[in-house]
Amino acid sequence: MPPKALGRRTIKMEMNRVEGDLEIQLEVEGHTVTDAWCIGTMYRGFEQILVGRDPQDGLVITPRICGICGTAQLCAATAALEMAYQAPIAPNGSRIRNLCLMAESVMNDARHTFLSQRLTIWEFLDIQHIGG
Amino acid sequence: LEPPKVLAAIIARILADEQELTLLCVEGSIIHGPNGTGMFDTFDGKPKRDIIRALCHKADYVLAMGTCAAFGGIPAAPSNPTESSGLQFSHEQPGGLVAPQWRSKTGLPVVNLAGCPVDAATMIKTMGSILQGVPLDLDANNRPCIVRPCLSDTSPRKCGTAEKVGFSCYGCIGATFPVSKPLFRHVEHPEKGKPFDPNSRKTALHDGWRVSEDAA
Repeated sequence: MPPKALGRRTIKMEMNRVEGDLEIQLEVEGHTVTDAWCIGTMYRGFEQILVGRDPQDGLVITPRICGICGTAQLCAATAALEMAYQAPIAPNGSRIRNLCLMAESVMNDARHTFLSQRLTIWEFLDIQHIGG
Repeated sequence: LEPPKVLAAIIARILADEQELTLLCVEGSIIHGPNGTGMFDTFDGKPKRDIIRALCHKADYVLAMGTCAAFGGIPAAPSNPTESSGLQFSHEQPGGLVAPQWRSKTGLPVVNLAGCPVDAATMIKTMGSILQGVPLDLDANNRPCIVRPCLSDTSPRKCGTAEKVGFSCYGCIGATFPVSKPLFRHVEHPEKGKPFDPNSRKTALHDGWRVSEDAA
């Protein structure tokens, strides 16, 4: 075993799939992870912005949390409002929501595979090529 | 999507004048908090605000993509917990990350492509006209007049969608978005009580979303 691996090392991991807004740091001693940190590097305070506003404004503001999963955020905001108002949902309403969520999932799968994950696939193939 | 290390290398090359920066597209509001340090939004331990400002000075054209980057948008809504602003505006007030009189290398202010989200055709059309050297027609808020769907259609100032859906427009291309009053306000349907006519509805929907080819 090389002597370098015995010492204590801090590893910073790149989180490029979340636009760099998350940092992971690991401390490795020998071959054991002894400590780990997860740092969210961005704060926007959506909860504070919603304080004092009309409850229905959450339907406009909450989906803007994320450009990828806006519909999921909207569904959560709607569910929260319905719980507060104790409003029953029409069966067809639930179906439309499920369809919207499914459409978003399909779109995200495509986006993830062909835009975000593309690099990783090439990197992976490269590693395979070098290894073989 | 570039990994952060590759991105940091590109930024370093641009700041050292080793690489040209023609179009700088910024998305999202500029976070100055807490207490003006910018540490609510960091890249590699440094405030993203400072990196963006340095890049602005190196770019030929700076485009603010969306209402957040242009005017501050939702993160800058009262009570503005993160001390956010836009690139050259703080809501309707001139002055944000860069001063109101700031101009890019080519003499243009920050081009504000407002919208939440900004229309895809607007983005591509604006970038295309800039790269082809077509002069941009900017309004008082530095928005190009081809911003869809509202600004491009100057003849009917009201698109009529509000009456169709029963709620008023919440003005996402405006500098004051989101205003402090409730965003959902009921609008009376002009044809309330009339029998449903599928043909007229179809034409109306088609009219509301037509692409104005004259702006291309």
